Amino acid sequence: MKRILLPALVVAVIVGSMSQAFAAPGPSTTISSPTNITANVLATCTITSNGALNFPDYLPGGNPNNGLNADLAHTYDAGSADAAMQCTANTPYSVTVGSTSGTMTGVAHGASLPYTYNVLGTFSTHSTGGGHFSCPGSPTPNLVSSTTDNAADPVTIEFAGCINPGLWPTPDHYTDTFTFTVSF
Amino acid sequence: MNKILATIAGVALTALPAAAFAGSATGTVSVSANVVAACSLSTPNAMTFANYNPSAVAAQNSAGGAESITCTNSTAWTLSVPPTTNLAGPGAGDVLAISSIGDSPSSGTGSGAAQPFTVSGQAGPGQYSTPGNYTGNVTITANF
Repeated sequence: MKRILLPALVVAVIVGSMSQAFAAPGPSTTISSPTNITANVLATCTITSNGALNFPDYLPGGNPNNGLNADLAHTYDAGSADAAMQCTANTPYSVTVGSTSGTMTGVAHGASLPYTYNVLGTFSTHSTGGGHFSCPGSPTPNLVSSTTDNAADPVTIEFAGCINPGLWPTPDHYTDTFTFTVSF
Repeated sequence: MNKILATIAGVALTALPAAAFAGSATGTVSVSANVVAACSLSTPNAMTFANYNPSAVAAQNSAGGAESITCTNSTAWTLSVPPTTNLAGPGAGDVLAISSIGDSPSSGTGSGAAQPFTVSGQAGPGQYSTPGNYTGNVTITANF
């Protein structure tokens, strides 16, 4: 009888040990749950660079029937730079200038040189808006470029200006700044 | 004589009451239970970007969604969540990318009670997507 019990006890001990090893604790279970995310994107336009309107040399003795013009994008590129902006997609926008006339001041002598200017147009991959601009004379006031892009493309804003003929200002380098507004 | 004794003995045995045991013994019944490690996630609150302004220079952080995890006592848990996802906007193809999604805290030890954690993320600058409401979701995973 003792001979029979002893092997049975050994077997039981071995089985018990194996069972405990299998039950060792550790990260083994995964559960998951979804959580929502919400956002409200605001309509906006960001001016990413300002422009420059660089007239060529003004020659008072030039053709009196034509003002010297500076078309930022098309006529004179040297030293000029378009303004640029980016708007949220599908956002209508317009670009205006508050005034269409200004006065440059001579850097060395302080003399005045009047000029006129306006928005020539806006251009992007998907849309073009703009108006007519010509010299001599004042450009059409309150020219508005209004358009909508279905993609958030960078937009180029072009300006143009005139210096009317027949002026005899002091030779100098003249400068000024004007502002433009993007409405959206 | 033998007959008399046998009769007396028989009468005596018949007269004994049935419940009158001479002794008692006690035993034990073993009881056991194996409590399995378990956790439960509760994620009812959304991660929100109230007003995303594409013009902002820096990435905008979300308000964290207040969630909770309940685990059995002494059960170590860790949370994970996809780091990025895209929210769908008001029109076809409108997308707002969300990044740096994470849980805080991302690990702990269960106490048997609900333990709070938050899920938050960032909307990177310069996403000039169509204005409007964007929605999406991420799945939070708990390992224990």
